[in-house]
Amino acid sequence: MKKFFLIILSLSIAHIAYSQPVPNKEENIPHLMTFGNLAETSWGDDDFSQAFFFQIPKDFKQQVFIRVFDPDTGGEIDEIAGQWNSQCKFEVYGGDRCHSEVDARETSPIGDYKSGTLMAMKVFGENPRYDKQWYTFGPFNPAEGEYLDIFDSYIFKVICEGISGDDGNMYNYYMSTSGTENIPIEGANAFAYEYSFRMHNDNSEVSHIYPYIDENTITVKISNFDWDGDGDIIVVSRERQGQRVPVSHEDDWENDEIKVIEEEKKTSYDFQFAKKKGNPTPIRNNNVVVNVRNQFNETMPFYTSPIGGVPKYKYSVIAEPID
Amino acid sequence: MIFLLLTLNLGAQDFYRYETLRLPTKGFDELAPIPYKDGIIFVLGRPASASRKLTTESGKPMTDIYYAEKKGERSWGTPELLSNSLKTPFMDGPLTITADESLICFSRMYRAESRDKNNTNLKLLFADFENDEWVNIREFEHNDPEYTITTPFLSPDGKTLYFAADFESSLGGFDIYVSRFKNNSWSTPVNMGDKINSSSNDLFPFLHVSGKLYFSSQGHGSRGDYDIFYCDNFMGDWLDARPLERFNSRADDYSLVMSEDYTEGYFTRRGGSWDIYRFFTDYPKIENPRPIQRNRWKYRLKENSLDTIDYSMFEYEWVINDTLHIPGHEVIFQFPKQGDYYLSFNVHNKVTDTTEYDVGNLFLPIRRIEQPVFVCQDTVKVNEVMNFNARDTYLPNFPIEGYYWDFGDGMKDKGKTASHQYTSPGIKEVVLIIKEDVRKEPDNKAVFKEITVLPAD
Repeated sequence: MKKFFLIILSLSIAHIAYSQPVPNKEENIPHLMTFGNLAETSWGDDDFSQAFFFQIPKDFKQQVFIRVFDPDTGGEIDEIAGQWNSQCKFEVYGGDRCHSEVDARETSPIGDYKSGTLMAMKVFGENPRYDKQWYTFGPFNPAEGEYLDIFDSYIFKVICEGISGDDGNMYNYYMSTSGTENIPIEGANAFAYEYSFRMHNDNSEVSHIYPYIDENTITVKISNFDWDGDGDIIVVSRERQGQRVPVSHEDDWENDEIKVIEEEKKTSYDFQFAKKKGNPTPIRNNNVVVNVRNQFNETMPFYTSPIGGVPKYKYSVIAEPID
Repeated sequence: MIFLLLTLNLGAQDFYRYETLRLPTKGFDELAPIPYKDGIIFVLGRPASASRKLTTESGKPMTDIYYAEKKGERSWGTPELLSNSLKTPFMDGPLTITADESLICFSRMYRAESRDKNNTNLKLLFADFENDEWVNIREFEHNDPEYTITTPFLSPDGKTLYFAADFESSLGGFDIYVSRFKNNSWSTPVNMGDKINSSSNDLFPFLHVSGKLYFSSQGHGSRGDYDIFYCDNFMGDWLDARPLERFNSRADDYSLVMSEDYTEGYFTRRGGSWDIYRFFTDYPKIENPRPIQRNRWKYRLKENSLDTIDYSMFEYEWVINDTLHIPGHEVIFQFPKQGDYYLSFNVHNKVTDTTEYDVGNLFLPIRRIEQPVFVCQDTVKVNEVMNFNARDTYLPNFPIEGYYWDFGDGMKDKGKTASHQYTSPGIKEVVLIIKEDVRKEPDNKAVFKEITVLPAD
């Protein structure tokens, strides 16, 4: 645990973010994804649960709101399985152990993953009132989150669980200073230890997620679920031009381990998800789950606003005269 | 005062001017000068009228060693006896001195010693300069009263002695010999061979730093009684003696000494009397010549960070001045002309079908180098004509007064083109100097190139 806190400390100091849409613009991910707990895992969700953490700088004193876009399971965005019969529960947690509890940082909803103080909760079924609309939790006093020195911030946790049915709920978050519109908070960020999301149907789109590589990371184990072999997953960093990792297929996990280059430490990786080009029958509504662990099997955070910015490979060009 | 400008074959010129030294010694004989301090040491012959009883066998007066200080460009102070300790009533000199001016070698008549009062032969002696005086006068260990040894020349370090002697081993009259100082003694003199020594008298050796041996000879087809000749040395062997045309006259010409850079020196001419001549050159001074730099128009444009180039996932492209697109991770490009070029490097990811533009960029000012430039063969044989051409010189905003050539063998020429024949093999440094056409403190640009001169077939 101590090691983990040290890891987080190093990134909290370095990072200044401004936007808290989840997914973020740089990620180019349409929506987060959670299926009802009666769905087949082959449809893309391995555990019907997703936890996201919101980080608010301790000096920020205004009230905050956590907003959910299209929280219901029905309508155009969500994925129907037969008929709409699913419910999703959104819960907001703050207070002690909200993040510091080990189970809260795990990838599966087991143990005390709902640690902390439940501050708000709402269950959504099929409801046109919330279709393509924002639902707002809050206001919350930032101090109601779990304060952690290592972040120098307050942390809130939002868990979305599919509690019934087999439909897929596609949604987005935004942490705002307003309950009626999305206004970003300077210095805030959002992160998750497992990312469950919906891919674009347009195969020209490339989605990104950005795990942070702290200074103690030696190897990174990348796990992806149900990618359906629909293209490539490429790891890019300042020192890595583009490395393909094995991709999962229908209803399975695929794992790969890559060795961290010294210069990659304290920077972010860019996991690029490129759908297969030229496919006459492109896969639609492809959902994927991704997590990464270090050499200690500890989960590593994906930040929606990448620490250190979006990593770009550092090319070096020269022009040398020849005879 | 005499000014002469002589030319050699093929238009190559020496650019030397020479003039008699204006020493206040009218009526005296002056000969065998060597540079010393701020002037020269030379041999001064007293007028016959001053010492009628003491003359050489040929009736010439006896001599002493004098020093004259140079006072101005063409004026000289009154000569003074170099040292009383070196003076005798008979013939003293010629002489030679080491580079550090601590050791002198000079010739003297045997008859200066009472035991040899009837011997008019010359011998060599050494003296050391200590406490402002020439002391420790001692004889050259190979002196022989039966023979004359004279006109010495010491190498700058004082370890090698060249001289003329009429030994039995001579090829005729006086020959030039060499002796080396080893283990605290001088080696047995060695005749320098028939490339240097003729069947007549050969005197006044002077070994230039270039390796050329200059000397005076009645042989080798001299047109006067004595002419000045030189021999090149190639890999230890002396080559045929060649006359130093520009200094030879119908009179006798002797005792040439020359600065390391060939720009000035002295010699002696005997017309009615013996006179010292100073020669110099108005050739532009060569300062810091540089090798000719190659204009670089062709470049390798290269991305340098990748150990492995992945063409399966990526395509690469160079863009020059935002107009010319050249595919490739590493490309060769020849820039058409001088100018400022902006290079950018784009990478296309075939998997994501995305292109990162300008991931690397360079500003490359391509300039033609401002410098004198000449072309010539790299290698030539002795006596072959070598042509030089400075047409590729690029010196904008530099008004050119003239093109001057130094062929590295003491010969020079002027003109945008030049030709030259080398008379000896070896590595020669050819220098092209371009003189600026302005009145005050003109600037000179100089470049050099080494060429190889091979022996003739």
